[in-house]
Amino acid sequence: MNKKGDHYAFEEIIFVVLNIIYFFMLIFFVIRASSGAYISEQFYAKQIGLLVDGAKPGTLLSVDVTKPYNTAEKNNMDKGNIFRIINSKLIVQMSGSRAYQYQIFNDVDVKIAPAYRIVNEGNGNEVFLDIYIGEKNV
Amino acid sequence: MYKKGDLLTIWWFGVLAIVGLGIVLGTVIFYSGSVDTRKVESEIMADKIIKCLNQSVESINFINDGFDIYSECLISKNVFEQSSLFFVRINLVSGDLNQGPYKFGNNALEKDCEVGENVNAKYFPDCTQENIDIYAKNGNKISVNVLAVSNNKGGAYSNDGL
Repeated sequence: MNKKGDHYAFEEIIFVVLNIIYFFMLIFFVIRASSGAYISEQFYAKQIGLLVDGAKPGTLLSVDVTKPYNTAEKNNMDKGNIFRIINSKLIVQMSGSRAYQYQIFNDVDVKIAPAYRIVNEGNGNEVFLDIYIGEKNV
Repeated sequence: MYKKGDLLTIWWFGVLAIVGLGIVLGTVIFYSGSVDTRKVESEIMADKIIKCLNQSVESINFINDGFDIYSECLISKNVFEQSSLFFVRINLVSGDLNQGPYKFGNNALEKDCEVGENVNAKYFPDCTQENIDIYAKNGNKISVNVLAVSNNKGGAYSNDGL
């Protein structure tokens, strides 16, 4: 009788443990997906890309990048590599796994400031990225 | 009272698989959404070209005279000729003189644009058409029609290609 009871209890324990592991895996997946950088990367790439496309030489753009800065910091990303311009493409990368690109058609010289401008506000820091739009050297 | 083997059945694993698949699919669909900026981009492009042509009003035969729209309007020639994401068509009418259409970029997008205007087509490019009358110093009126098309959706970055 005891042996049979032990067997049932063992099966129950395995059943509960498997369920807990499985549902934790699902929760972990959803949390990772929701804090993922993909949507933010796309949003900032397109927002900054359109600003650059519409800008004239001599313009200084200052964009609030607090969210991507914090996300990159959380993902241990080199913050100097979050925003890059390669072959007229604006690349935004907030995690090590992938990056998002957006094509720019404006034929200008885009200079991204090497350092972020951090402004101390009452409820935390705000991070700004300065982008200088200059004339392209022919 | 359950019997041995009632809990860990194939049906239970089936239920787990269905629930898991539902959650994974829902999450992936929700977070892979796309922000479509092609219409805004085509508007920016059309505005840019209109402003640029307005400044070049004195050279009415500008395109025939070797006017380089890429350098004058600050549009990247490489991007237009290699990426196939953009298209611009310019028509100029001055009195009886009809110039154009002058086309730049991926010509296939012009047709796609016409089709996309009539049907709700998600994968067709977005287009902006702008008309403006500009006046030369001698009083000549030049009617300018610009069609700007963008199919720039952005995407995952890879090192290859343009």
